[in-house]
Amino acid sequence: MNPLVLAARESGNVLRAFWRNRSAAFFTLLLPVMFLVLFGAINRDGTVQVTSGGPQIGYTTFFAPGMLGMAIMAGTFVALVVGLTVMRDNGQLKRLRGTPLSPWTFFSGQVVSRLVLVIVEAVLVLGLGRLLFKVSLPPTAGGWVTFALVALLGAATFTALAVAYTRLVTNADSAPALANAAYLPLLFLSSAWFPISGLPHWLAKLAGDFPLAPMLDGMRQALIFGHGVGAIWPDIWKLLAWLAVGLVVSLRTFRWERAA
Amino acid sequence: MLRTRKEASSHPTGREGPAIEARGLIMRYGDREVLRGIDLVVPHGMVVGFLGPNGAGKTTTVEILEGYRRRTAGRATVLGMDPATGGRELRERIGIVLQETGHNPDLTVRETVRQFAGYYQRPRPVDKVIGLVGLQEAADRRVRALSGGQRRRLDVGLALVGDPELVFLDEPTTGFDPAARRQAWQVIGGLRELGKTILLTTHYMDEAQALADRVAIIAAGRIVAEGTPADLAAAQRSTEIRFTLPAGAAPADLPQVSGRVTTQGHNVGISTDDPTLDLLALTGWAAGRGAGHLDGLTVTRPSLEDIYLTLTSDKEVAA
Repeated sequence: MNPLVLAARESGNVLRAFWRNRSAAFFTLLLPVMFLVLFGAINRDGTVQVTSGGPQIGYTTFFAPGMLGMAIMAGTFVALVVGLTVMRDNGQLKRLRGTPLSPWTFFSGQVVSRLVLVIVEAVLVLGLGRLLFKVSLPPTAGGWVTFALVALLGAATFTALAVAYTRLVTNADSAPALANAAYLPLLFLSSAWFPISGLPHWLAKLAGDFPLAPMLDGMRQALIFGHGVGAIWPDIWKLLAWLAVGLVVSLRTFRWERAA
Repeated sequence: MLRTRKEASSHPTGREGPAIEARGLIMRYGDREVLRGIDLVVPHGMVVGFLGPNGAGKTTTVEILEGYRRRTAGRATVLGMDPATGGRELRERIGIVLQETGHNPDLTVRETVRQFAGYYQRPRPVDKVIGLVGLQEAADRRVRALSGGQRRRLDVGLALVGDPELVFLDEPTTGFDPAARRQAWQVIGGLRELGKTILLTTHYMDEAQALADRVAIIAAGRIVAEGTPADLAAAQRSTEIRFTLPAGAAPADLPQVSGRVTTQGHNVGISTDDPTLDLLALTGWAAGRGAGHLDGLTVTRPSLEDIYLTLTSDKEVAA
């Protein structure tokens, strides 16, 4: 059968299960929207400077992509680290491995279904942000293309990194804690909520090299200033590098069965 | 014993050779040799019970045949393919029921079966599969709401949805209450009627007796016995005679018997292949001493359970 049909069908399987689990759907899709509404309402007229000496922009315009970035990392990285280790520990992965389903189809299903959710989330966050707080949207088609590229590349990168990260998670019970150990610090250090200026230089630089910061920066450059891909190459390169690392480590170390 | 029953391999399917053939399977993890030369043949259309204590190498053997593990040495053929390289083509034709496997709790039974049906080229109709494992009533219930026995039947259903020729069942009833076990046995009995070849791994001798045409017993990485349940019982024919020595008699006074005599204080045990003759000698001897009877006389034939325990415990010590 056509591998694309199989991949699409497997994505459908993953999404069906996703919608069935209300709490997972809530945390992935609605929590960032809720934060957007709350913090946007509190700080409706605030302004921030993205870079020192840069122009002042509306806080909600800064904050909306931050929440989208948070949703992307939570919905891909955290959700997959937890989901895959649970499936590994309770034997679901092993069972799938015993069917004709190819690993390629399985992982395409995981990636594509996450990308679909990212698109839904982007529509929710940007739509509500526009409606309630008049957050700025890309003035040009090029800006939209760049934004979509960064968001999807970021989602793919965090998906690959999640698969790689499962190797470090010895059992499903510790998966949420270990996933959050990577997610929460990055969230604070990568200016998802507000621009961080007080960090020691080395720490700011280090945080900037992890994948969340370039994804947020790329999305903001596109959304706020309408920059094209050419203006954000450093962000794209960092994401591509992390994607490559995630893919290579996943291919070499992924386990379909829990450790004996 | 097993290889004498050749008629099985001429099952009218037109397929060459048995469904499973393993010769001299060896598995080593570092210095530890888990399998020490397993020979196993499963003819087409047969249910073969694979028994052994935990740690004997059952699961390792089965997982080599299922394609999950690479053997260290030896030959293995499953449906004419090497399981280590059979890949997709092999997995289209086998069904695997693993021990304790989770499901997605938020999908219904029907959705779960339909999802797995989508993985095969020629799946069985979803509702047929659900009927086959007796889950019609629960078809639209979420997996979360199923009982343990129902989940296990769903496991079997998922293994059958690809319409496999060969089904691996790994301890399908461990942890079941008696009623759930009977139900599971009915499902497995139904598979036999469909002409499926089944390799059934189990701890329970009675399960093997109820379901299997043939039995192979593994202990400490070797096959220690193989044959029909009746063959196995026949191979260990010896009957145990026990009694207490009459007052004033010493072990040396006992008459000549054909069996092996062991004494422990006043307790005598005789393990014999000819209990009738030995009992005649013993009772005659007792009557001759004026005792008239033997205190605590019992005559027992070992059950298959005993045979299994004897075979496997010997090997455990030897290992």
